[in-house]
Amino acid sequence: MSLRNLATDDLGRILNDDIGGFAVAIEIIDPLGLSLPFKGLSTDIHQTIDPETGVTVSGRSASVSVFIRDLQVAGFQIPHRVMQEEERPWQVLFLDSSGAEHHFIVRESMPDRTIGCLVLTLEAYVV
Amino acid sequence: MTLQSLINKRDSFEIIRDQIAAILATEIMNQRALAVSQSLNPDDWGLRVFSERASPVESFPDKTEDSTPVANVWFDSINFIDAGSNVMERQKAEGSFNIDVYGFGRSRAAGTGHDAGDKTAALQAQRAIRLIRNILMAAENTYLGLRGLVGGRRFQSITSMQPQQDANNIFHVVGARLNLVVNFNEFSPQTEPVELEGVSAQVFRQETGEVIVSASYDYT
Repeated sequence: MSLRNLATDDLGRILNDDIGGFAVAIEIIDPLGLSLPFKGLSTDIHQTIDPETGVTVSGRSASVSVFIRDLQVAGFQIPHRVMQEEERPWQVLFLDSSGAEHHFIVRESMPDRTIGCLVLTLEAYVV
Repeated sequence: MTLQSLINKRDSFEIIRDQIAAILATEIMNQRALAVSQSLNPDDWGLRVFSERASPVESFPDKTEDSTPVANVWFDSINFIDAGSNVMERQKAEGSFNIDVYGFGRSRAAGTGHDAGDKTAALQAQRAIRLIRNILMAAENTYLGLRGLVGGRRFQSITSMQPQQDANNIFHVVGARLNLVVNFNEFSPQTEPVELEGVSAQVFRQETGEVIVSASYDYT
């Protein structure tokens, strides 16, 4: 097995390890309303540092990282931002460390097809 | 020689800044009441008014559930105009006051589609601009309720802006700045007069109509 395939497999294990790792259950809902469970890494933090100025900026940022292969096996295309208001957006739900559920939609989709990692930056959503 | 009186009054620019905020708050309350009287949603005329606050966007969710647009009135600068001023007690001034508005938007499901949060934020900010411009430029507020102190007001510019926040913020906030220029006078402390001598006089009108002044005082 090549190093790249090894790295991809390792990534899959890391993103799905909710026992000994940081992975959590992530629910992804496509614009047609089909909801499927996945596992991956999630972030939901308040304050960040502007990388260009080094200034602390306030704001809530959330994102998830999922294994692209898991989406393909489930039959999902790569989630992306839906601009047309006539359509439902791609939705992402996960629990925070306190057990509270948070509902987001996909703001930006950043697939890394080299290693198979999809990072989705999220924005708040009201159902 | 030092000033003999304590400087314990607000300058005109402070009075005007507070008056701008007071006018906005009062008129918004009235607009909401008018909306109710016409069976319209008063939230469409909502605006939270602050004055000289550094970070009003902090009041947006997820700190509270109130997503009403926010306006922050703050003093920017003054240009003093020599023509029309005097060296003793009055300077003619042109003050610049900024009214920063912030509209908030959160994407939400709507029928079979959704309302985009970024668009909502922009429309909210522009609605706030509409309210503020109409209120402060209304005929009733020509002198900002300070006739005698304020000579006039006009908007110099309205500019959209993005508040300083993380580009990946899960909420959308769009800002705009309305720059209001106000003409007014600034006054300065005067020398306390010292009484040299008291003179009293009485003024009479004689039957002939002649006006007579009667005074009694010592002189050398």
